[in-house]
Amino acid sequence: LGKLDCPICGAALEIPEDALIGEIFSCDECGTSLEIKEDSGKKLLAEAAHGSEDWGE
Amino acid sequence: VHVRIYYDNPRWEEKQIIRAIEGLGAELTHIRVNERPLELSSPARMSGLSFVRCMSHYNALYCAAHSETVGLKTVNTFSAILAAGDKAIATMKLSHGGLPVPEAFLGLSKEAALRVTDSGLLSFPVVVKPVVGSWGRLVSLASDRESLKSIAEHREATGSATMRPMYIQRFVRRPPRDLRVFVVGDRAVAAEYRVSQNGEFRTNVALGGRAEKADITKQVEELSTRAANVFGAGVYGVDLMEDEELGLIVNEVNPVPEFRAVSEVSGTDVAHEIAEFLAGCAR
Repeated sequence: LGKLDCPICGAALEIPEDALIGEIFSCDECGTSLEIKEDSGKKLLAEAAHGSEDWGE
Repeated sequence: VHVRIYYDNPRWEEKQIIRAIEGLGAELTHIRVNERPLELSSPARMSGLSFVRCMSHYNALYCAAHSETVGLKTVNTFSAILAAGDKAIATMKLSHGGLPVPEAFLGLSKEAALRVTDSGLLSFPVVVKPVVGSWGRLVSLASDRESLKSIAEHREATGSATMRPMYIQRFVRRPPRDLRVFVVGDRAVAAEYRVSQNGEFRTNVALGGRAEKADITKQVEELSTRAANVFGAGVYGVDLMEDEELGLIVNEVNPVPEFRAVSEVSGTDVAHEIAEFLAGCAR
């Protein structure tokens, strides 16, 4: 997907080609958990929901 | 063959499964439940098979229910995710199915939880877990009455319906590891030891537990597939413990299991095994 900006600190994150909507990445600069979202066909990063008590396997 | 995969926040595992399903030439539809509402009142009927891979337990439950309602063959089933995804229900089902499990009790209030040790049903130390949750999160070791009481009070203070029930389990004396067996259909396809590190009693890889290759012995195969079959044919991560007195016992069965570590240490292409199983179910 190329580079997408961290919405918190502005750092540019290199997002792999096979990344999926909803996938979670961590910003190398500020450590924020970020989720790939799509808005009007455009991919962007948004702060991910904090880990919920029912997350897991 | 048409497979629909439900997911919320896809992990390494979901991407591997997607690749493997595509590799078999099957038609694949992504259902991104964080973006797409599930129609409840008059959902269109569908045919084929769905694979539920949500990271959130409750998302997985809703998706499995939706999938079954619209007519899709669903892996894992709603009832499997419901039962295996709740440690209390899972222990009851496993025990009822004749599987060896550690002694455990459910305290639905602080008073009930304290009564487990006050009345001698279990002796300290005991392991206290939320009924829903993974990765060792909030799994605690209570060494005495004060610590058990503190855990119960903290749980009640969260005000969370999923945190209030306290699953209280005998502390199993064992080597500092457990055995994760990946079961697909009626086969144990891969296994790993999860070795706890730095004095940590929990073995979860998410907490730094080290994965090591483990052999699938006849006993491991038999016990893990029996445990999985309690919940019906599907895809499960079965956790076994090596009790110093009783030998292998079943700790938990995970209904939306991760498999990155077990794939790496076993050399098994777990995603491919899953894809083959799904294709077989869909035919």
